[in-house]
Amino acid sequence: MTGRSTPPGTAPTGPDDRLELDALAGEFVLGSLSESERRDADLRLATDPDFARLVADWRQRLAPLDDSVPPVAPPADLFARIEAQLERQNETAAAPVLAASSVSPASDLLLRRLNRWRAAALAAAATSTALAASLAALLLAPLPEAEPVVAGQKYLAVVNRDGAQPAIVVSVDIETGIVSLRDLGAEQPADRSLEVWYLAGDGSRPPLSLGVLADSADITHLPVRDADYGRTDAAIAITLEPKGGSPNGDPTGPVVYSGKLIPEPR
Amino acid sequence: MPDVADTLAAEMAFDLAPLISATARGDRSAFRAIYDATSAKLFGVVLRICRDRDKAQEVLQEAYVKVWQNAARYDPASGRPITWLAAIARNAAIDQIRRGRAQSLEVVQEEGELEAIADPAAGLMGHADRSTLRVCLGELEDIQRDCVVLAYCEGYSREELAVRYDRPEATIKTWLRRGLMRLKDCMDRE
Repeated sequence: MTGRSTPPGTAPTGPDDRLELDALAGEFVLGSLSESERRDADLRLATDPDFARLVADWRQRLAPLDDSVPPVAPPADLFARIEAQLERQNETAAAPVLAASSVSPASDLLLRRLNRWRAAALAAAATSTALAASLAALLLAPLPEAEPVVAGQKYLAVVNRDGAQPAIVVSVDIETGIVSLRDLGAEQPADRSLEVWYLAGDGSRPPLSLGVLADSADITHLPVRDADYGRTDAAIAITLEPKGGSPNGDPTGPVVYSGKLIPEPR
Repeated sequence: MPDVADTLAAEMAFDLAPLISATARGDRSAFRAIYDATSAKLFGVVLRICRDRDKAQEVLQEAYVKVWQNAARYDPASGRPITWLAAIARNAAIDQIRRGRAQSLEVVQEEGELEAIADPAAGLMGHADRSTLRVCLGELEDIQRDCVVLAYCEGYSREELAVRYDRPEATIKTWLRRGLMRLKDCMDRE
């Protein structure tokens, strides 16, 4: 990272800043940061290899402190509980596939989920665990089959990181020609921009930039650009870019959020 | 009968890295083997931070679910498998206590225990007796060492340390960072 594209004092530019970044990495590993600093550091860990390296070094340095802890046997049934949780997540995710032999129950299920989710998303109840769970299920659920592109069709993507809480809901409306992005709590460093990309999903075309997320608005509207949004593997990815967006038209920063693009049931 | 020494021996006896790769491919038995080899150690780590058995169980469950989900992200170049596993468990534990402590800033005061932890001579380091880390912690000023150890081992936030030592958070931050940097300098030298 260089200081050219960032305001002074927000990014490491010299030995002092390097020291500052190292101290931040150390405190992140200690766990002493405040909640908001911790969230920022978490995002940085996922997006900044330099910072990730410093964090890994601190983990190695401090790891011997864990050796002094006496092992304590967890309850005998804990592994069964972990397996049960994995099964539950698996079942929710696999439900539409299991039902794929009879297409209509699968569609119904998807439709119900979507309706439930849309109502909730519109109410901006983004922190509800139930919502997060149903969104995760929605994202993980492969569609029974590719849907034909239809005039006036709308497409949706819910983008998140590591299957965690949804960060942004992306809606592509072919008829109105508007891509709407509803920010449900995406983390956006002040000195960078989040850029939105359409991915064909099979590498048949380079990522297509749809624009940059507005800095401080809950909703961003961008023009629809020509792409095959109905592709089975189509996805939306959000990358961390220099302020204002990628300088060269291709993604230059890491993907911080991503999600599958699916046709919205009508 | 498995005891502490056996658990540690088992942990050292086989390499966890291939098990993590197998877990990333969806191998449930490899995942079970990781759990069997590491859950007692990680439960100890999590208990020390959470101080509540029920919450610690939830945290441990959450941690292993993350291990299953993120196994493909483990990079051997970034450290030993056990360090990666412990980082996941510590993260989950710290997230948990920050959620729980956010409302009421209730710091548990158990002087005897804390003194023991803060004093490297009191057997705190246990298995790491001859480690560079122990030597270098010994070189820190007492207050810096106490803050570093309390934060890492017991999950103290700056805010909680500020209450404990009756100093502004900015002072705690300075102590922590000076402590960390001296620690690093010393460990690089050793």
